[in-house]
Amino acid sequence: MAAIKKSKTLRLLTAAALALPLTTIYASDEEATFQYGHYEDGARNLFNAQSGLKPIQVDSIQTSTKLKLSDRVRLAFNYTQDTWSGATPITTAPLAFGGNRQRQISANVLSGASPYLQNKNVFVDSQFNLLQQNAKTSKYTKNKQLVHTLSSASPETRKQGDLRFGYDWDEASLDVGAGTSAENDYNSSFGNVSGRLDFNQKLTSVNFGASYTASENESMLDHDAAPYIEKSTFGTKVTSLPNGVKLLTGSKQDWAGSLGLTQVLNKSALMEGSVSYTTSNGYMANPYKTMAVLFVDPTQKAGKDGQLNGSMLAFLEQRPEERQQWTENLRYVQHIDALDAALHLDYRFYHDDWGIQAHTISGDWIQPLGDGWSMTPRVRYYSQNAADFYAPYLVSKQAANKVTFDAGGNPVKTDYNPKLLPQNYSSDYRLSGYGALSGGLTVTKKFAKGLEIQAGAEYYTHAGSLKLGGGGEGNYTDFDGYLVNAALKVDLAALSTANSNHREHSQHSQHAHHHGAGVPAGVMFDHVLPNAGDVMVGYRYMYANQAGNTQNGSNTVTNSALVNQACAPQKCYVTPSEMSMNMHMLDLMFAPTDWLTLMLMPQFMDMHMTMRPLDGAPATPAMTTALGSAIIHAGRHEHTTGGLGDTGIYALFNVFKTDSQQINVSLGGTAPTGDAEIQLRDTHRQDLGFIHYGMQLGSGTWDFKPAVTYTGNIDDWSFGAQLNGTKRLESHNKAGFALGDIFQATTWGSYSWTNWLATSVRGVYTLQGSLQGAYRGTYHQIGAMDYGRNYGGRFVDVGFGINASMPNGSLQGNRLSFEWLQPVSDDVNGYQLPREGALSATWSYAF
Amino acid sequence: MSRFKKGAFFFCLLFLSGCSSVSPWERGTLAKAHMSLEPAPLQNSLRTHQYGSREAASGGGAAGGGGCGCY
Repeated sequence: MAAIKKSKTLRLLTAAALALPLTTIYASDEEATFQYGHYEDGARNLFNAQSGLKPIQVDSIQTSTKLKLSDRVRLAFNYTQDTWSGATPITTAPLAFGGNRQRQISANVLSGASPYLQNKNVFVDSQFNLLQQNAKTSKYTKNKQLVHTLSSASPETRKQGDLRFGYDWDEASLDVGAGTSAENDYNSSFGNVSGRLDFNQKLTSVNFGASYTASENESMLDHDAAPYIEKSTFGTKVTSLPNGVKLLTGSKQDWAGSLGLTQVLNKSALMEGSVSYTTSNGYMANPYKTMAVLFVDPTQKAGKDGQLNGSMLAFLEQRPEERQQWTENLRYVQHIDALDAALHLDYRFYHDDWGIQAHTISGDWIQPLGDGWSMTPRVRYYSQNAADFYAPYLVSKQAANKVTFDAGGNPVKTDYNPKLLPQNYSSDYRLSGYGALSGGLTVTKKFAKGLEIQAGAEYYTHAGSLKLGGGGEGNYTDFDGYLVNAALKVDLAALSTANSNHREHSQHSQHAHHHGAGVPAGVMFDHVLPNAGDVMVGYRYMYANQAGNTQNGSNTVTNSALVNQACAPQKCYVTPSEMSMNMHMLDLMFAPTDWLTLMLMPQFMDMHMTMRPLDGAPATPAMTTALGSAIIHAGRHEHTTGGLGDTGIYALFNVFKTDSQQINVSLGGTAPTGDAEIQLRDTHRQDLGFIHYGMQLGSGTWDFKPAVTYTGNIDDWSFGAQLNGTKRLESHNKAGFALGDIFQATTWGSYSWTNWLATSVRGVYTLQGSLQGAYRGTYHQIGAMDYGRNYGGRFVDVGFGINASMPNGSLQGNRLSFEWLQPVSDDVNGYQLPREGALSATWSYAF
Repeated sequence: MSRFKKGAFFFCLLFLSGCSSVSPWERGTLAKAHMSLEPAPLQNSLRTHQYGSREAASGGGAAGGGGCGCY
């Protein structure tokens, strides 16, 4: 009898284990994740030259949601957003050329200058080494040291979204996905299909995939650099727009395919081998990189110190229009039984028809520490050799321009012959020979209810001397950088399981979404967690837009009024035509005791602003003045900023409660984690200084934000009201200003149509003071948005909301709500763009 | 024989040798989260993006992604 029972258990276990596909065994089918990442380059070695430019930094946010539409159908949505700003190498030149120059603004202030790319009067020795002339002795000395020339960019943002459907059979799966990525100057769309076939009782799986990507590039050449770049070469499409902007266009297609085999080696090891191939054609160069070419006429007569005369010109880099890439990957995972650790070893060999071969090897040791904690140290080594067409700079033995005389004694000007230059060339350090070593540590904590948080840091160092087998690029290319990330993962399936197990003991999750059923998406601080140990995780998104004709108070004004009054006593030159803001917020709530709920709210922002020149404005000053430069720049470019915003920290208490009514008080505020000192990059060799106040990512001050909220419900109706405020706790931030204080009153009513759907109507009154103080440091007041008095006002909005909460099923406890706030009345301080509306969307899960 | 074919041949050899049969009830260890081939997909995507912006041998996966991230 016992034997039969045992074999039955065994059969059940076998069936259960066999149902698990090997390669997706571990991934949860239903989860929501959020990640913030920050990457920053270290300073480059400029060999005593000064550039005064900040190295590049990148802020990224990623969210993803995976859901199961049925037993076999999966749906995943991913969204990624990167914002970057700072300096990277535009080219490489001998140190003697002096590409990096810092500009003296005043006796004590130096500013990062524009890159110096062209000089038609340089001196070289007979071996074509660039010579440096001593200013005092007039003597020439050889200096073979190379150095990157740095160039800086104002903030830019990339956004990418993709959607993926999957279908699972018992021993196979198929996924189909598509997405799109958008930047100011680069858009791409992609589609992909991938699948898996299991064999041999799922000990073996075959994986395959194919993808197609189409990209369009429309880059505005750096207007500081453009006049000094030779653009007429080799088919690169550069057109001039009427406003003088040089636009480079190109398109690119990539096809890729991969095939892999996953094999369980024994009960504690598995391995995967895969190969992939990508073929690309089209424009693959980087529009912001140039190649320095030294032209020397070898037939000329040497000077008295043996020096020859030459010209250094900059060319847009030229990469082949085709590329074939192959990679071979091996991944090995070994369980270390004694420590319950997992060792992951990956090796990748990459090669392409540009002549690059690269080896990557990495090792991760995942060590569980008990109580849900785990720690992962990691090491990675990467090495590549240089592309065939890579060179730090080129020497061309011909004159850049030559004047000869014809038979009649008339001067004849001849330019260089481009056919004497190589067909392809790039000085991008990423195509040079080098090695990169990185190491990092990740710490993960898993909470019982399916919540996981992770924090990681990795240090990265790039050096020519680290190249496998030696022979890498000189140490002028060396740099280091670091990458940090923080992630939150909610396992939705585990949550609902935990919830259903809990239901008999606690009704709070149902209560939580019952009483929250009618609260509009745009309202925060409306509820507390009722029991010690309760956790709520949420995500809030807000979009707000301003556009139309500028108002003074509640009245639309004419261009001439704007020009003459909005910037008085100066004149306005431009006016905003559209401003928009996206905010992503994480809403993390935890109740350490029954009477207190703590709330942490990190925020991530991005902002956009377009401006138009004002008719009737005074003549724009010359581009060689800072003001003129700022005005011209504003008329040509959309201004963008993005990254981490201020971080909210709150304590919430319930002060009054009956069966159908309650009053909650929230005390707390925001810490100034958002950057309030963002500056525009130098343009036309002018320091443009701080960007417009409204484009800063944070207030820059510690802000106190109290709120008191009343909520109640009768039958299917619920209602509420809230008073909240924002008091700046400092008179000015580091940049020199403080945003105005805010007072807001709001009230709403909602009706539940079913047990899962409710709609709401809300009224909002907002009063905000004007901006106090002003930037300390360079900034140019070119429009109304550059004056503190043109901020704040009195605003009335009506909100329409829809709320859905999942009463049962695997997504039980999830709440999703949307609200559109429609402006009814704008009475602005000074001169401002009217608001067009705001959208709020929230997802939350209480457990 | 091209490098590609050699590589493929090498993988096949490797897989065909040294594999023992693992009964379904012996797969408890393999099913642990940290034994996944991709234990931290989110973090990995961030890293891949950073490496891709600093190294020539980017990509190589067929999953596909767009964008330049030309920094």
